[in-house]
Amino acid sequence: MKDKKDEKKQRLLEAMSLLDDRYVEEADPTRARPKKKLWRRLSILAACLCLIVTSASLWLFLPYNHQPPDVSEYADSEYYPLIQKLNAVTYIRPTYKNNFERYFGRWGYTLYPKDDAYLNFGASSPAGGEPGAALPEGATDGADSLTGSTSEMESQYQETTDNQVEGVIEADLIKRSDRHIYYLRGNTLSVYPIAGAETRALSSLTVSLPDEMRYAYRASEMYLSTDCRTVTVIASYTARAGQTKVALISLDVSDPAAMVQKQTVTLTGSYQSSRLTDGTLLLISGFSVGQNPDFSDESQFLPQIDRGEGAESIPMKDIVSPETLSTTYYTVVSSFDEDTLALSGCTALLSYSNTVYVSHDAVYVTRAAGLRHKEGDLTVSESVTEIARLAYDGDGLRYRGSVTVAGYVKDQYSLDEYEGYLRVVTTTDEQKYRESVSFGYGAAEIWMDGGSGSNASLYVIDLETLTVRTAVEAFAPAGETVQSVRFDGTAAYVCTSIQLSDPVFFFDLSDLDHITVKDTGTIEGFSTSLVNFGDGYLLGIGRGDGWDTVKLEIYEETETGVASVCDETISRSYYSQDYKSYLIDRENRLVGLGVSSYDGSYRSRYLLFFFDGLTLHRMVDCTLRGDISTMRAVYIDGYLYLFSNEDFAVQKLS
Amino acid sequence: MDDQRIVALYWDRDEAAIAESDKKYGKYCRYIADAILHSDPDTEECVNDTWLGAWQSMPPHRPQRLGVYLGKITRNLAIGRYARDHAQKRSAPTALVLDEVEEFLPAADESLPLSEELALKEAINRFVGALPRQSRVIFVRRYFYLSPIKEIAESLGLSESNVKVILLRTRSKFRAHLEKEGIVI
Repeated sequence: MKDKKDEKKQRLLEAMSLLDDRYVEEADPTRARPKKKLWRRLSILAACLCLIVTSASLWLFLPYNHQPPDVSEYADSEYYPLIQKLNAVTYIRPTYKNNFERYFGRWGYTLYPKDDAYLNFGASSPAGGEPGAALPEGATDGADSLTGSTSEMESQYQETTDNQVEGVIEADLIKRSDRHIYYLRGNTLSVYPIAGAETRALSSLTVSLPDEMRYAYRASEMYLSTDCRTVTVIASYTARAGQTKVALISLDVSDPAAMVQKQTVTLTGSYQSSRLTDGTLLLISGFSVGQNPDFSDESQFLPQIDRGEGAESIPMKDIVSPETLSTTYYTVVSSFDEDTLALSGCTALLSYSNTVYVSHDAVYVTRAAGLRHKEGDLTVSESVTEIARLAYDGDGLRYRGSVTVAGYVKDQYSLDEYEGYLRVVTTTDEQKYRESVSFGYGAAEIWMDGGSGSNASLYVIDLETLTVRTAVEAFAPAGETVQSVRFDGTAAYVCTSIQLSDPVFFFDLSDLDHITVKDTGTIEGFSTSLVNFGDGYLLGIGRGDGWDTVKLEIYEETETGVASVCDETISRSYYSQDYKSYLIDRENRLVGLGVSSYDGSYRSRYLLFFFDGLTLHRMVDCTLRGDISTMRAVYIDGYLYLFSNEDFAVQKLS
Repeated sequence: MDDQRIVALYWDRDEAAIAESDKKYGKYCRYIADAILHSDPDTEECVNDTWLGAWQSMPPHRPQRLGVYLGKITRNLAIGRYARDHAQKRSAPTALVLDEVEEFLPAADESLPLSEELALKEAINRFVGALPRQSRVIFVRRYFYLSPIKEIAESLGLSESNVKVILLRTRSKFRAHLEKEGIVI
């Protein structure tokens, strides 16, 4: 069996010789096939390597797109010139040229192109308090009047805010008539009949913001009309879609016990400031264009106003912009009728900051920028401020041009219009440095040399020509910066400081060709607010000899200079720099403010001082809960009425 | 020298035909012989017998593919020599191939008659012709040329395990094919 099987296997093996010749030839083992296979493999490997190298090269060295997107599709739009400017500024260009530079930059260096002007904005925080809070303990909500009639039909408006310009009313948390005090806690307005120690809240109303509100991120302010029948609340809030808006809400307070919300107007943007003058409410708001906006959606690059009939974009004719944008921030100045909230005018200034000064007939908006030029091998950098003037009257707003001065302004008190001139005090800050590049860690290193210095300057601008009429430059010791300014007719007071010492300068501007200046010399502390206290006295509120020392100081002009009359310090305390939180009662020579003091724990309290011509006397020192920036006080007929976002108190004064 | 001219030499009884055959196909015939005999002396002798067989067969034959013709002569001579001279002592590689060939054998009663050569030839060629080229080359290399699996794998750029799997599957198919054709051996 086994042999037969072997025989069969052999026969079958022999039978394989019957294979067709072509199959035998096809499988010829002596043919050179391996080389062909090897070359094939090598070819495939080489092709793969080429593909990898090419792909890697493309990924590493393909340049990033540094060009902004094409916006020619909007050429028919009235906003096309604006869109082109915004497109160039809002497009975020890649920091690196390509991926190689991005990931392997340490082995090389890159100097980024420098612009001639660079952004140098300092946005001041708008005044405001905490979001809406409940009534303090002891307050009642209802027609619980203790004074008989609650109607404001026969009331008279009483000013409570120390307005910068007389007759140009500034919004505040507190307003009053001769019968009632109105205080705004967030979005809740409370009314208090003036009743001395018996004063209690009569009623309150929480204003209703549009349904789209997500939350109010800044506190509100308000105005009380001169007939005491309307309160206009200004509130900033964030819409559900994430857009910030400003709302003007008018309330009928003719019956304080039954206040009613009347109408609402909203604007896109954030609330900056406002004024009320002769029945015209001027609203200054800010609107910022984000990165890479969608220009098919006007709400993304234009400020809009909604008067209850849908959002409307500001027309192109009402937008003022420089040739070269340094930012995409609008300052929007709108004028409304106080009673009807009807819009009477609107101007949007592109690339302007939010420092605003309002005179009787004009709004001044400032824009800070930085300039650089070469002096030999040194680069000189300095700040400049461009001031735009908008005239307003019953016909709306009109842009009147701009002027540029050296330095930057501290706040609205740094500007003042008087008899055809605009006076401006700035901090000038020329810096000189030398640029160099070292390989170090691969990035460019710029080191400073040549020194830097700040100082203070005063400019007088002719409003007819918008040119500088005269100036007093660098009047402070080198290195000082402006801390506070106050203009009073032909006088100007400026406090400068370096660290914790200050001189106070007094300017006599009665003869612009011969401006004289006197100062106190260097004294401890510095004032962040200077207030004309009447009778030739100047009140300074600021810091003492330490960063946790509050100091009140009275100055008076002398033959040779400015002298300190007296001062009062409060140690281990902090104060609010919101000037609206100070009680300035010139008639009664009272000054009050809230402070936060530390004595093992923080305690907020309210202090009231009386100046008798020689000394400051502390009249009130009481605990008042809440944020010191929301503290307000009113002195009426021997009683001090104290308010904060969390508290209410009445102090009887002897 | 092309095949036609070499064949013409055989027909002309020109002994240069042997030299030319050896020159062109000597390596090929030695490969075939050595794959079966695994002995240099036996291989040389087998190749020499190939030239003798060619001289004696041409004329009358006039092969189209002279190399394959000579290779088959060599193969048959080698298998015959192997069977005759190595009945007691088997060459391991060749025995391995024979063991594999056993798998071709359809299950059949030994009492059945042998298949006709023509039918077997046709069955083999139909099967091999239907195979994919790579499988066909592997099959022919293994069972015609008796090439080692390692050599087959290297020449085709495959792994040995891959070649083994292909051979296993092909053998199985071949057996099924023969059974289907009714071929018994």
